[in-house]
Amino acid sequence: MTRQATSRIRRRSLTEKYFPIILITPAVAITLFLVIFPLIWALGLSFYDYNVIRGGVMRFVGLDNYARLLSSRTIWKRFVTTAEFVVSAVLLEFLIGFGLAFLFYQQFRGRRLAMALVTMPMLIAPVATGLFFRYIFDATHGVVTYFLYLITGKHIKLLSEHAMLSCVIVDVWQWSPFMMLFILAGLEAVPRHLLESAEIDRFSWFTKFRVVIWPTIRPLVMLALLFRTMDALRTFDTVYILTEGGPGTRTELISLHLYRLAFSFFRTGEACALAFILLVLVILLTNLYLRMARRVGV
Amino acid sequence: MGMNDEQKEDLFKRKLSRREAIGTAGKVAISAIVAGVVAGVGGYFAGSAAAPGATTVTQKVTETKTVTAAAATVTKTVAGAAKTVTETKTVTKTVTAGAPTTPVKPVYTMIFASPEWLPGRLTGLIAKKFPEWSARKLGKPIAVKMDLIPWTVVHDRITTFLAAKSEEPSIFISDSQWLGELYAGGHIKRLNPIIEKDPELQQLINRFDDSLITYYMTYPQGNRDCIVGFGHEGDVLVIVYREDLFTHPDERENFKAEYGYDLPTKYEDWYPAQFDWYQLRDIAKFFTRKAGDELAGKRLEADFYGIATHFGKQYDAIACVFGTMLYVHGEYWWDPITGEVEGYINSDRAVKALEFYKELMKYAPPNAPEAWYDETNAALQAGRVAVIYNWCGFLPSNFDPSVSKVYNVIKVVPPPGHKGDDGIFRRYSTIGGQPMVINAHSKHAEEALAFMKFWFEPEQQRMWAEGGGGVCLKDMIRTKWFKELTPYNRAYADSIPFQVDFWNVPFYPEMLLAVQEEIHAALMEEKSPKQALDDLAKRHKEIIEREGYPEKYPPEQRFPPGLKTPADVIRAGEPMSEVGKPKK
Repeated sequence: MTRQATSRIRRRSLTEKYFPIILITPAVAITLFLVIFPLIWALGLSFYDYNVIRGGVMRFVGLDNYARLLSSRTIWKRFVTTAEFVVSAVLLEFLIGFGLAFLFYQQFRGRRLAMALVTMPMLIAPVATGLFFRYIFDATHGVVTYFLYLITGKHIKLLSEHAMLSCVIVDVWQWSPFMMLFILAGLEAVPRHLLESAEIDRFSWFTKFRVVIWPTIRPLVMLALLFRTMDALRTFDTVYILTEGGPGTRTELISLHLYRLAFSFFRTGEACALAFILLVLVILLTNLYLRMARRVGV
Repeated sequence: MGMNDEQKEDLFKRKLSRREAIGTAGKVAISAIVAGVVAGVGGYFAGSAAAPGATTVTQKVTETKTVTAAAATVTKTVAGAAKTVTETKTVTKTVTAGAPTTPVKPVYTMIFASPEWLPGRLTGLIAKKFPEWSARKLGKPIAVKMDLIPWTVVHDRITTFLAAKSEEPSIFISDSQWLGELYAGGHIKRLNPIIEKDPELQQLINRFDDSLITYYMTYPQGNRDCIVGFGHEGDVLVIVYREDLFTHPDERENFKAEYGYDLPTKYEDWYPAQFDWYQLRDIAKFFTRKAGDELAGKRLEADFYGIATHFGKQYDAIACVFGTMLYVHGEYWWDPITGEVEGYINSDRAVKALEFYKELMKYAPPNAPEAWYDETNAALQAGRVAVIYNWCGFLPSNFDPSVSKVYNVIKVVPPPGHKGDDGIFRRYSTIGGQPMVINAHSKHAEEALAFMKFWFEPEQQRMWAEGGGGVCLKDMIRTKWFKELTPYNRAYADSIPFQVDFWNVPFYPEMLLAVQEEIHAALMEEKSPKQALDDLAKRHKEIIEREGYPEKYPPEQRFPPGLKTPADVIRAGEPMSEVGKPKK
């Protein structure tokens, strides 16, 4: 083998070795710069007493921010409010999504169009959703309240007297289709021959669901629940626009509290600490869901 | 030209070496960059060429003029009613920034950040004259470009660029209560050293009303040793009422029979007469009717309400209107010298103020718990309410026939006061509006200050007034010309001297949120007024103690002891001009 050929082979093997690295470098660099670095920086900040707008010296306080947050009654109240919102919204979304998925599992005329219409709320920006529901629910000029008035003869103040319910309704309206899509995908994956066998064996609808359908769709349902729970925990825009956490602090979710800490009060260190507490909570929930999903053999 | 199948097949079969692939990608990338640069340069020149020479802001203002009728000209006389006829005309005022007399090419463009609303756009229009002015006065033409930010995010945006120590915008609008936060963080300039050397600026200070100096321009409030800005958009809360209802003979007769006094009909009945908030409460109660009831001789198709104002949780909606109730009942939020809140915000007077504020909500539209300026205007414009208490800066649309059903039957007057148990009549109201301040990180502070001088010249101020801006200079506000310029200018001008603001300390956002949450909870009957105010005092105390106010604050950032605070003045029922004057 000539020296030239050897060198070409070596060059090619080097290229083969480094080419993938070159290709992924920009993506890794961007991730490091835009995700990992700010995350580490924020973690560092969470151990300091620092107000970004008032400047001054950053004072190391160790775990004080975490201790103050975890021992604050206000924070626990916000977590309870958030839990109330997440559980009601996700549960309703699951039930409605389930119903819709079974509806669209059937073949009927105009199915595609109906499905497109049903999934449309997901495409609307949450801020816009919040805004138009604010008008729809307005107790003086709102459409919904007008019809409720015609039915009940009372001015029902949805955004103040039933604020949590209003926030849940808006979230359910927007995100039930998401649940539906996951469950529908699961339903489509149920083997036809199993369904036919169940029919031949004259299974009741409930037995058919329990023995044939549920085992197939369960992993997807778990995944959908995981996504929705994580998302509902982070809900900010719709609630901020609809009620701004009111009346009083009735709908003050933890995300709203975090926003105020970070961008109204500029208590940067404390806000970072709260963000990490939330992150840990989300990781724990994710593990819980994944374990539940794994138990049925995903 | 299309490809045949054979060519397509060849293309799929063709193997590209890495070198070829990278080479092709490189060529594409370079072509894209070159195309981008060419398009950018082209776009820049095209944009410059297409830039309009002059912009026009048109504002429709409906002027309602009440003329006392002479016997000979009155065609309809109503027994028991004031003999007046109402002549209404709609005037379209157009403010145009004409092309500069001598075209000048700016050497520098300064950014001015403002909320995105009429005053912001109008400022941009007037600022178009600045290059010519600066060329003449400073020897270098400087342009001013507006950065208009939606109201909802204006605080976040401005504080974000300040936290990043950005050099631009050189000038920006600060809400009056941000002044402490921005000054303590070193983001805005103390202007006294410059003012002391500049007789023109010294003279300018004297042209502002005392209350505007106190709340728009100084930190701490009233400390003239620390001037941090100049009033830009003045704004006050005023009363707008349905004159057609107030002058209707049946309504007048029924009201007098029920309450024993007349409904106010003319401006002077409201101001300077000592019209009381409790009388306004009576009026609100009187006009609250159900669908099917009669109102001014007509059968109502929908429920009608007495008063609409701010009861919502948004930003400072409650703090401003409840603030007025607090002040007229003779109380203030705290003692700015000691930071004491106990016995102030939860005093008996404060509780009475909150009970009164809550009572007003009984006569408000159902959406009251969410109402701010927009909802308040909407209720009036739909013809569903007799009286509103709202910001002057948001009133123009109420006089626009295309959106308001009542554009020609409403009148604007200053807010009432209240005669307390001590026999003192107190008329105070919460101030709105904003000053303009100079970014301490800007390298163009001198030019920014020059802009302020330019801004307060008579020609610019005239344009500002004609376009609907809230003029802050008392020599202009007090003129007959200004008072007659819009249907609300007279009430605005008369209201300026009794304006009051809440804290402008660095920790104001937390103080404000506590007010919004606790008072809203009381309005929604989640707490009693007493409980809400006790809880509020507790929260305020915690914030103040954590902040170490006033001990940890440098002397220049504390309210000077020995001088009258807003709390002293309000409790004593003195005029607002007394704030900052030595205590006797």
